[in-house]
Parts: sequence; structure tokens; C-alpha cells
Amino acid sequence: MNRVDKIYWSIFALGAVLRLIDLGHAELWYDEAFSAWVASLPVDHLLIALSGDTHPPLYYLLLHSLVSLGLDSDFWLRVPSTLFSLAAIPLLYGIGYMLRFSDVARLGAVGFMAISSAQIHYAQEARMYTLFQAEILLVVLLILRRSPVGVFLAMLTALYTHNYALIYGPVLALILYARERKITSLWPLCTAVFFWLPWAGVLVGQMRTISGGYWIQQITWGAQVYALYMQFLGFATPDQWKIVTVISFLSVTFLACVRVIQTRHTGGLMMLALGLAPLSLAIIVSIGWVPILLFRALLPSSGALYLICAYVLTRGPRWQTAYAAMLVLPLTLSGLFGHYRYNPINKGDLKTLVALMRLEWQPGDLILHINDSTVVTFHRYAHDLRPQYKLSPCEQEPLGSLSTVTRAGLGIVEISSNDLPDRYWIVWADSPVSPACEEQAAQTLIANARLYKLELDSKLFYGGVWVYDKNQVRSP
Amino acid sequence: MTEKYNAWLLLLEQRDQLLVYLAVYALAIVAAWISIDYLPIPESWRVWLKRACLIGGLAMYLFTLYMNHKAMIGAIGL
Repeated sequence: MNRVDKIYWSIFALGAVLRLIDLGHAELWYDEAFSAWVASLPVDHLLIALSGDTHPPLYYLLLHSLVSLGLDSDFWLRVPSTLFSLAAIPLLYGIGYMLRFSDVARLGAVGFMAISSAQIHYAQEARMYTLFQAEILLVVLLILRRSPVGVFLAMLTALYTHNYALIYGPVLALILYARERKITSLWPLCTAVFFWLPWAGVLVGQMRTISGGYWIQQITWGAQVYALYMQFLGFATPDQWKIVTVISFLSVTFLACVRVIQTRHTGGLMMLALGLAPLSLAIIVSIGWVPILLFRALLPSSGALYLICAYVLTRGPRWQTAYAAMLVLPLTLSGLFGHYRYNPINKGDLKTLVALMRLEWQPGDLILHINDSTVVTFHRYAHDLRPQYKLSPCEQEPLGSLSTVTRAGLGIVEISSNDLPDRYWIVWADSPVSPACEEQAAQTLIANARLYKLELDSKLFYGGVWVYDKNQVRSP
Repeated sequence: MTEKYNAWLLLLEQRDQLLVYLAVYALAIVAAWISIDYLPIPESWRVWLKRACLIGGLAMYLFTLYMNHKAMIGAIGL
């Protein structure tokens, strides 16, 4: 084993350790709890639930097999994401090797990937993004290794993992064409799309189901910058460091783009396409059709950006590389600190609330959820407090609500406010996307109830738990 | 929609404005750095100019950290 290999394996080991630290510590937040719930369903219900959602089924089927083995703790549900995130390190290293990037550039890129808070965030999240990242990087590596069957299989799995594979498709076709210089060489990608077509019908149905209630906002210049810098940062970078971090990483990215174009480094141009073309395509679709720009789904581009940034920062004199490292390393470490410090807080502490509720829970009680947001997380952490119902929706629902089809698949039961018993718990989380009619309905219900615990009370968010007991109703 | 929704949109707008400002700032830094390569000055001056820029950049980096925009960043949820 030479010196480069030793450094590479040290980086890999460090990446593994950082991804495993506190893996099961933070609670599952809404999206993760949704993954866990869907994965726990029988396959037919799982497919019904997903047919009203926005994602293809592969990741959920993978989690389903894990849950079937009894591995359904928070820790185990995140293990696949950790492993796929870890797999991205050798995949990026291999891509860098095939594209003839220097050893230092490759080690710099995978080193950043190993310790970047953006990567570690998704590595510790029970969602499909690291799987999607590994699949897209695998497609690129197999294109470079001239393995058409492998390209077909990897692309097919990517298509069944995330709809953004359709955005990556043209970019991968461009890389494949640049490699082979023959239009017929595109057959593995075309065949993968052909085998994906059965799901295309479901996708059309999904889009009809969620139309009007989709939560992604109109595209702005700021949203585009946000999508770019979130490839480098996690969600929990300490506020004090954010401005410097944004300026530094954007400067390095812009400089890398210019230098790669100036030097016409073939591999650099391919990585530039992989790094920025999906973002550009998502922007074009968002402007021309409906807003689809989702920065999380651009995670597969992050490795390409790391590679060209490392290439540019390491091609000058050694002191320039040291200078760049001196600026970038503290920012990266602050992101890492923020991740371990604030991520569990950001994900919430429902277990404590539910433990408090158990103290006053009486036989015959039920929980009434005002909207979906608490139904999903309570299903995870308060499954013993039953029955639980969701209040029948008013004429408008919050943006991003579960569709009727998904609710049916999950087995969520709705109840009208007229059918409530003499004593019940009200759980309400009000957010900016909640409609006025829902707020009114909730206010009416809590007006006669006793506040049990207020969890949120800020300018934008309000929520908590109330207990209604007919025998203890306050006089008007 | 509710007042909260409008307040949220306003926050997103403020965040967007800040991000655009920072992106333009980053672009200006890169443009200035690259333009040094094209200045009609002797090579030794170019090297010194680049070193001066790197020291200036480091000073700005430390100054921005020292300024600590924590409250503003927290308020707009960047």
C-alpha cells in the first residue's frame, strides 16, 4: 500500500466514523417518519400509499425488507443511508481516477466528501438521497469504465429511486456521448428509460394527485444560489459562520467553473456538466412548467463540484493549496460541529412530549390531529396511544399535505368535529403553509380545552397539545 | 392564505436577497482574481498583487467572522 492509498483509506475510515457517530440519537423527523411508516406497510399498501406521493418505490422497498427482518429502530432505518453515503466516497475516487485528476485533487475531493456536513446530514437521514447519489455516481463510473450493462442497471435503479433521475438522464447521456462519440452508445440509458415506463403512468397520476397542493415555491435567483450552496453545507452550520461559508464556497465554485473552462480539462468539463447541468435543467423546467427545484435531489452533483473545486485549488503552488485549506477547513469543521450539536434539536423531541402524555392518558381517550404533520410523527413515537384520528379537512389543506390516496394507503382515519367523544387530546402544529380555515377550526376546538403543553410559539410556528374534557369545560 | 404565510414569504424574500448579494460578492471576488492574470504589468508585480489579494481576502474572512451576523442570519433563517 503506497502513501496515497494509506491517506485514502484513512479518509474512508474517518468518513465511516463521522457517519456512525450519533446515528440513532436524533429522532426521526416528519420525512423520515413517513419513510418508516411506508416501509412498515405490506407491499400492496406500500405501493398504494406511494401512488399518491411524489417518489418511486425502490428506496421504500429496500427499507421494507429491513423492517421485515425486525430492524426497525431509528438507528437501523438510517443504516442504508449511511452505507450509500459511504459508498459515494470510493465511487467519486474512482471517477476522479478514470478522469485523470491528480492524486491530490482526488484525495481533496473525497476528503471533503468524508467530512462535509451536507454529506453527513443525508448519511444520517432515513431518506433516499444518498442511495440516489450513489446510483448516479455509479452510472458515471460505469460509463467511464465502458460497462453498458452496468450503466443500464444502475440507471434503472436510479429511475426507480427518485424522479430527478429524469433530470440527470440528459446529462448522463451527454457524458456517455462525450466518452463514446457514437449516438448508438446511448442504448443503456434509453433501455433503462424504457423499463421505467411502467412507473411513468404512476408518475402522471402522482402529479395529478398533488397538483395545487405542492409545497415547492416559485423559483427565484436566491433559490438557485441556495440550491448551489446547500451542496456544500448541512442544515445546521452555526449562524455566525454562515456568511463567510456561503461567500467562500460560492467563490471557490465560481473560480473552479472558470478555470475548468479555461484549461479545457476533459474530465473537469464532464464534472462541470454533472455538477451544474442538473441544476440548470431543474431551473429551466421550473420556469417553463412547474416549480420542481429541490436542492436535496441535487446531492448527486455535489461530488462533481467537490472534484472540480479540489482540482482548481490543488493545481497551483503548494502554498496556495495550503492557503485554500486554511480557509475551507475551519468552515467545514464548523458545519460538522453544527451538525452534531443542532441536528438532534432541529429534528425535535417528541419522545419527551409523548412520555408526558402517557402520564395523564386515560382508557377511552383518543388523539385528534389537526393536520398530517403530527399524524406521521405520532405514528412513530406514540403508537401505543390509540386511537388516533385526523380532523376532517376544511375546504383547503396545508401545502404539502398527504394526498387522499396516501392517507388511505397508510390507514389514516379522519373524524369530524361533531363525532368527537367527551374526552380527547388535541395535537396541533400550525405552520405558515396552514390555511386560514384550518387555523379557525383548531382555534374553535382548543378554545374549550386545557393547554397541556405548548411546544412551539414563534412568529411563524405555533403548536402543542391540549386536552378536552367535557366535565371540565371552562365556563364562557 | 394566512398572515403567517405572507410573513414566511417575506422571510424567504429577505433570504433570497441576501443570497443574491453574497453570490454577486463572490462573483466579484473571482472576477477580480482572474483579471489579475490579464493586467499589463510585470510578472513580479502580478505575484505580489496576488499575495496582497490573498492577505486582504484573509483579513475580510476574519473581519466577517468577527462582525458576527448571527442575529440577522437567525432572523431570516438562511
